[in-house]
Amino acid sequence: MNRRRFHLGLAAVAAAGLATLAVSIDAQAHSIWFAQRARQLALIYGVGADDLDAVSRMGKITSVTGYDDAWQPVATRLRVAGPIPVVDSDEPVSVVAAVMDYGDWVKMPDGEWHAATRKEHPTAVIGEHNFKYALHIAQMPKGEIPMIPGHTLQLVPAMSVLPPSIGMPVVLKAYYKGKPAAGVQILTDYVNDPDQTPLMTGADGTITFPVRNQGLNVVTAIMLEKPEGKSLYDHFEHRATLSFVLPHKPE
Amino acid sequence: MMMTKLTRLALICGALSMMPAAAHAHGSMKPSHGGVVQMSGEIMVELVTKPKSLEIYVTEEDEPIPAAGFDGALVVTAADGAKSRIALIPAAGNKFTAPSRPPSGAKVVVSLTEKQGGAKTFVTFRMK
Repeated sequence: MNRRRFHLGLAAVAAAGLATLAVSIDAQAHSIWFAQRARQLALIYGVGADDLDAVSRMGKITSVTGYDDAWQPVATRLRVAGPIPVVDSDEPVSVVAAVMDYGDWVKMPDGEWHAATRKEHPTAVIGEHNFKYALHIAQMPKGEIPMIPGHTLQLVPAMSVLPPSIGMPVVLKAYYKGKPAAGVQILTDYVNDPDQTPLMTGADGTITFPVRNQGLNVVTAIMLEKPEGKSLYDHFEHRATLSFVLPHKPE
Repeated sequence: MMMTKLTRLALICGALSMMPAAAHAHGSMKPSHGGVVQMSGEIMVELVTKPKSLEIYVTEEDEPIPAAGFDGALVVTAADGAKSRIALIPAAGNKFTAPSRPPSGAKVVVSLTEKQGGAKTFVTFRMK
């Protein structure tokens, strides 16, 4: 395969469809995603290489769902395995997903964040409610990935197969409440490059970029929803990850 | 132009995805009991079909893994989509037995749950 041809193709795609956001996101920075740990699929809470205490936060998980390759539901839950929660399913899952309601947060003038609202902290500079979503593809299912219940923001491949190699273009699509979402901020390598300037989905909700890793890829989508009317919140932060693995060469 | 490139990419990726997995584990990937094998990481599961039952053998990097350390089951999905579960019976060494044989065309998931720790291993076979 001529990888250079794909890079040239990517340049054209990028010129047509990519935009960058020049401002940073002044909001909570942590996401949830799935990654393999000791042969099991673990739910990770963190940012970058920070793999924080997800077990103590399991009470904030509101749903865990799994599907086989024909998109039939598989009984799936989280199980505490030492310091990490792992996916516990009755059968292999092609896709597993989770939702976390991370609650109310305020940012104070001194820069500190507290789990509260402006009601308790009237001087807060930011008041928000956070929702986190994770979707992991262990194996591409047959057909498009439908909207998963509870995933207000969802990032899925907009192609039937994932590219096999690092550097090749991957096309993803962000959905907000089931509809293609423009202007969603995209971090293309949340584990290894969490401070990158976000890309942004185009008018049709898609984003195209070169796959970052020949291994685990965790892509994060972020959308700030303005509340209607007078509110304690400046926004609701929706933060969704899509994780998948490009396999390594044979040993 | 863009769609043409993306379509071409999808076709090539699709062709690649249909290639047999060439991953090699540490240790033999060949059956030792005349059955068929599937890998999950470095764990090899061999399925041997008998006239009215199944035998399952489990190894990791050529080392037999004692069956007594697992709770094993088969999750069988018949051609019509009906699902059933068959408990595996641990036998000597790394051998399990299943007291019945799923029908031809059935998808058979071998589910092994470590009694100590609860870690799960899945491999999937298709009955001939």
